[in-house]
Amino acid sequence: MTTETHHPLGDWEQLEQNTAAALRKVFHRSIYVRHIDVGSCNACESEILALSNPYYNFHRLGLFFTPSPRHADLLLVSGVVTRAMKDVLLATYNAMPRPRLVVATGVCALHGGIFRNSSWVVGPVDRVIPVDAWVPGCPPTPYAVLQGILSAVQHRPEVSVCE
Amino acid sequence: MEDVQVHASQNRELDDNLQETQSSSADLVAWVVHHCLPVDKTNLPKAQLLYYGWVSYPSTPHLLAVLRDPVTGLVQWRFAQPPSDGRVPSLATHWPAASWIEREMWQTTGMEPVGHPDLQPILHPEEYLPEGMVTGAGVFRLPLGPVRADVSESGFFLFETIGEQIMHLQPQLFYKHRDIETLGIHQSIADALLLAERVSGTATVAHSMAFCQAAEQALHRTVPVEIKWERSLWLEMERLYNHAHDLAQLASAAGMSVGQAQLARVKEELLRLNGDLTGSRYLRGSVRMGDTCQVTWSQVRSEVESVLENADRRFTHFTNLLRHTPTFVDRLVGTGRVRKDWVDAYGLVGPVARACGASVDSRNESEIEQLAGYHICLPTRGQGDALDRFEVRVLEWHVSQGMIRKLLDLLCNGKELTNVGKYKDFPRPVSSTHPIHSDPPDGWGVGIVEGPRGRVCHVLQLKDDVYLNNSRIRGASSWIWPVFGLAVSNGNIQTDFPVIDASFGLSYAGTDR
Repeated sequence: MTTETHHPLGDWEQLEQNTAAALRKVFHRSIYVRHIDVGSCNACESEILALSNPYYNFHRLGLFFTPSPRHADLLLVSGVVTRAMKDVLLATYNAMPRPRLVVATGVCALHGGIFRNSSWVVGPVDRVIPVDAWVPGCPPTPYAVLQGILSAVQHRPEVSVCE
Repeated sequence: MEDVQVHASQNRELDDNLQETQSSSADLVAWVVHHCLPVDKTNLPKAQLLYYGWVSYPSTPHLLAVLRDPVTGLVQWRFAQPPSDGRVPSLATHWPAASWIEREMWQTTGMEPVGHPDLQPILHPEEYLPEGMVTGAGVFRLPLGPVRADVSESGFFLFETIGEQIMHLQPQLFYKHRDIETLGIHQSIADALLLAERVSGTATVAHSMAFCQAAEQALHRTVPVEIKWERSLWLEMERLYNHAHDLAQLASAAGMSVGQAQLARVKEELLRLNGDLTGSRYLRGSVRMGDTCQVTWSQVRSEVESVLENADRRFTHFTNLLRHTPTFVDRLVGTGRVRKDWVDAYGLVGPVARACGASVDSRNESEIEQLAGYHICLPTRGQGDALDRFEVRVLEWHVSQGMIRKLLDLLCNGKELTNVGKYKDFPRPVSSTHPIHSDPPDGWGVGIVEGPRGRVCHVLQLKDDVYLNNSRIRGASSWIWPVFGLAVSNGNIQTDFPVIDASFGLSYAGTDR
């Protein structure tokens, strides 16, 4: 399940308002999202990419993809962490400025999914880096991914910029 | 070790059955070369190589080659036990198409392809970084990936440029190698089907359909025609959303924001239709062993048709606009050209091969697809550049639209259309009981499906008709990746890369497995 939220998915307007307020407070109106694929099957990427299509248009909430982790506020991780991608994931995470958030997308990122027994796999994302929100689904729908991002922002731990 | 011995004794019977298809590894390579390589440049290759590689049966790795005659549909199998020192002759010396799979075989099993022109590690990309090939004054090396711009899969590219000109590009994959083939071993058919669906998420139907075909062949099971119709329908639905996606990415790479947004909208509508019909936007669970999806087609038909019609209208409008936008066409003409001789040399498949004018399509041989009005789409130019790949996808979209309508008709009315019209001339399968006319070794099966990116092939061996003993997967992109680097460095500049990348539309996950 995603982290516990006070707003059911149906109360979308309320959620949007609250999140917009949270975004303004912490990130000065916008969040830059860096996506990293650490071993997914491409379905999660397809759904994450759909966030920017006219149906979901996550730019209206002040969310944008960024090419560089150095500009990113939030890391969206999809897939089970393979051995080859473990250090890449760490390097990407370490390159991000603080405060930073991590959202694990899809069953593989949550607990390894059907690939968890592979000897080529390190495990779920939280075995490598701390995760703020989990989004279940194979693949999760774009709305679920959005909900995950929003609950990560809403339930972010209190941090100071000089952490 | 004990485990392996038990395993071996259980397979002694299978082993005996395989005697007639056994040969030495040198014979096997010679056999593939004899059957698959074109005699001269004017002749088409005589047979398609469906699978070449290794299988771990019963306890030690064996070479396996599966060929198909494209005219009769006859599939031939051959196994070979490698000599005790593990040195086997390299097929890649004769045929570059086998290069990547032999490198993987060498790293996984220790079998050494003797004479391989480029025997470098391909697995464990984190340990073996590419070193580049170009030397001299002014050479600039640009590493790109595995984390790169936009939302994309993880893969690494080493560019070597002189000025703007790309001299050489080395793609490095297998960052996402999950070893799905080994995971499938000892799994039940139902569990292995879940794995097959997740080889490449946007080719779920192609992989699960190939898996089911292979399992059904191994079980000697005949599939009712309704199931075949429904599977073909899912396959075409998958092709529609993939082509819309690829063209949206291509528009985006060329800076056409409106085209990108509108085609992404088409894709989203198709995904929602898939979700409404099967409960999964990516058609997971839609291809089942010996069962349909329980969709009442007569009830949903009009809705499906209206969604498809709307999507078709938007797709046609915006691809037409793109086609008549000089700035878009200019970016595509001559970009990332695939030379015609690479089609045979690398055994290319799918829209990339068809863009070169090669009539390579597995749907050619299937009676269901013929019935549904399939015909092969070749662009008029046949130059093999990004524009031709754009054209092929646009043409195929329209063919798939027509096929879905006919398949809906078949599913609703339950009777076959007798008139296949002007497509009668295409070769029809000899066998009427199974789409793959062949006689595999006992317990083995092969599934061949034309996915959105090309031919997907699953080879598997069942134990006691329940569990998998061997599972080999050959996705469409595996054939095309070795050519990608060549096409990028074929007279292109650095800024052409996004266009070429989008026009190929290759899958990383399907190749890494």
